[in-house]
Amino acid sequence: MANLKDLGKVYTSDILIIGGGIAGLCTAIKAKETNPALDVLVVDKGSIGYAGQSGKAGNGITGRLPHQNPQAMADYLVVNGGDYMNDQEFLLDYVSTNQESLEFLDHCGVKLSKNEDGSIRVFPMPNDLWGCAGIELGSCFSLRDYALKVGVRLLDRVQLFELLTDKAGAVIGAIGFDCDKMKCQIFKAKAVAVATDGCYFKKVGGMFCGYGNGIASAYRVGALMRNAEFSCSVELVHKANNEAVYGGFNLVHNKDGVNVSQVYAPNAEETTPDLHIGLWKEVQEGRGPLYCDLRVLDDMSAHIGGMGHVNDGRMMADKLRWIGIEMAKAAQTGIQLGQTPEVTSRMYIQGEFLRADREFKTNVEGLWAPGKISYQGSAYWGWVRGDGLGNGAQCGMRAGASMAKFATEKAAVEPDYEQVKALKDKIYAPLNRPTTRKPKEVFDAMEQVVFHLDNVIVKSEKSIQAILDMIEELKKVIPELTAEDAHTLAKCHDAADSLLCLEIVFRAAQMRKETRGCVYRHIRTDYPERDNKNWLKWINVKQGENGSMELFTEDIPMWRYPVRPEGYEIPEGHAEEYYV
Amino acid sequence: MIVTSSDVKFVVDTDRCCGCKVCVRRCIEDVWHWDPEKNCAVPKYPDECVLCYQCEMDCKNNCIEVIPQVVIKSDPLLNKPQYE
Repeated sequence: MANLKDLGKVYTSDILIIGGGIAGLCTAIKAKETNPALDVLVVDKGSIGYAGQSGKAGNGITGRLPHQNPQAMADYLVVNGGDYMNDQEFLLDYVSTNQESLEFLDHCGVKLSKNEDGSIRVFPMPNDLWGCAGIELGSCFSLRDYALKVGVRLLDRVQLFELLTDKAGAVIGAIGFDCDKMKCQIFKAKAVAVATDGCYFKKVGGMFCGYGNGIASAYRVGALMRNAEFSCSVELVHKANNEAVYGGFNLVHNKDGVNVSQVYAPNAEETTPDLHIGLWKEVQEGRGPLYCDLRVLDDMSAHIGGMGHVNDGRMMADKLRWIGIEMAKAAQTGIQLGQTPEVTSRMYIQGEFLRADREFKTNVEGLWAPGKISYQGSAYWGWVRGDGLGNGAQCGMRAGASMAKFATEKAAVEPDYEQVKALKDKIYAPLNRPTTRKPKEVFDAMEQVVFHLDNVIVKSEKSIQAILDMIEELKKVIPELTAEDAHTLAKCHDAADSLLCLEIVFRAAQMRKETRGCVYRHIRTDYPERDNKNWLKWINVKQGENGSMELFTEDIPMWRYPVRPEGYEIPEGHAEEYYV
Repeated sequence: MIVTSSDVKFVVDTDRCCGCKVCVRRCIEDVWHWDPEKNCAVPKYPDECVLCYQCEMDCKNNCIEVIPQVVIKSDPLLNKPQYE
């Protein structure tokens, strides 16, 4: 009888977590602490501790001061973060546990800013609706050590590309290969989490390492995507190193010394596409180069940049050391730095749209999605400074407890040999093709998309269709990609999965015929107004029966929510439920 | 050892490499690999570098220098509209 061991090395655990960043580690720790009898395994393509986004963050993490009201924070974010696209019940629940997530990290040994009495020191943000604590750049080193201490198993340098399912479609494992010897690795588990980060389309100037493997593997087993059209945004960056000028968005000046931030987006609380459309106009009309005047910090640059808190414990030594090296490198380019650095816009697309519920469970049985992979898809969503790291801890607490309960009650199911073999053959296919095309070709083409404001920030039917046409052409390249080692084999799948994510973003953008959003603003020049009559809806994306992409809308249950747009009328068939 | 790609140049003092492999573990883009023949870490996939400089930051013997060549390939503010 055929045996899985004939196909590769087989690992068995109760809970499998794919991705060993802050979300994956928090999920694992919470699951293990919920039920210590469970066997919890975390797998990462890199080295756990170093892996994930948190090692590239560290400017702060959201928290809450005693006088701050979660409902007021949630109400603010519905208008200024999600533009009514939020799941408001989830949002309130989520922001209510901001402080608990800090305490969880503290419990796990992560270094946070502290008061003299040992309690966590939280600094109020300028709007005083929520707070921000300091956190070490190396939070995942602390979490890794704690995870090992409580008995979580960790496995480095294995990348997984496909999920295994039982006859009913529930997820029961995953398959991929080790990143050094390219040996097939098969994982069996009762509950699986994809904590793999979102998709960042490589080479767009960011440092995050997700290529959409988690999203794409979940999509292929039937998981829903939501809010994908709100994936595009823009950051103000130093021209010398392409790194963010955190909080400098109110201080941009043109060559004539005019503060153009105050012209296009006065006294903003966040960087917005509207500002950058204005910056583009300035440069196009000959009033560049642009610079950021940091000689006198405003509240936003002091708080968000963290430099207003260097001496009181919010900015940790490891983060400041890294900033120092980055700036030293930037100085080598000869482009102006100092207190009036030359700046530009960095546009980006980040696919974080895997749909998840309040426990960060997807619609697929046995599959959870903690971390940035579901940042938009979970629809508590919006944008809060510091919530990148806060999200990791919050998701972990919720997903870990939920997975532990599920895995405690569920019996293990043996994967189907034929399914595993077919997936293995698919994963290794690029090694055996008589072609010479390389994944770089696909990445280079995708990269071109983000260099143009009228692709990413200001969309129209014409621009969207042009990108979808490009995607169709690139899809023909995918079956011809070739690899010669583990690294290039992984890149072939990264390219395919990134391309799928790009298609999801632009298919959803094509469907939403209105302009809406804040930081992740969806701007349509052909539909320039917000349309509350027709578009208080979520767009969901899924893989259809025949493998084609299907999109469908879902009414946002505004009748249950406390914050509604002016003039909103409860649709027929629904009654006001929130105040009942 | 000098390794260059379109975006970055790596200067590695191979004699000083102590073999700790921290750079290999640090790099989340899989740039660094251990070369058993040279008995040192090498930037095997320099094209993947995202200019975070954390390999250089963590190198125990200061063997690594990462020199940016092209930081911004195409400045979005300078690019003309494509769809009139």
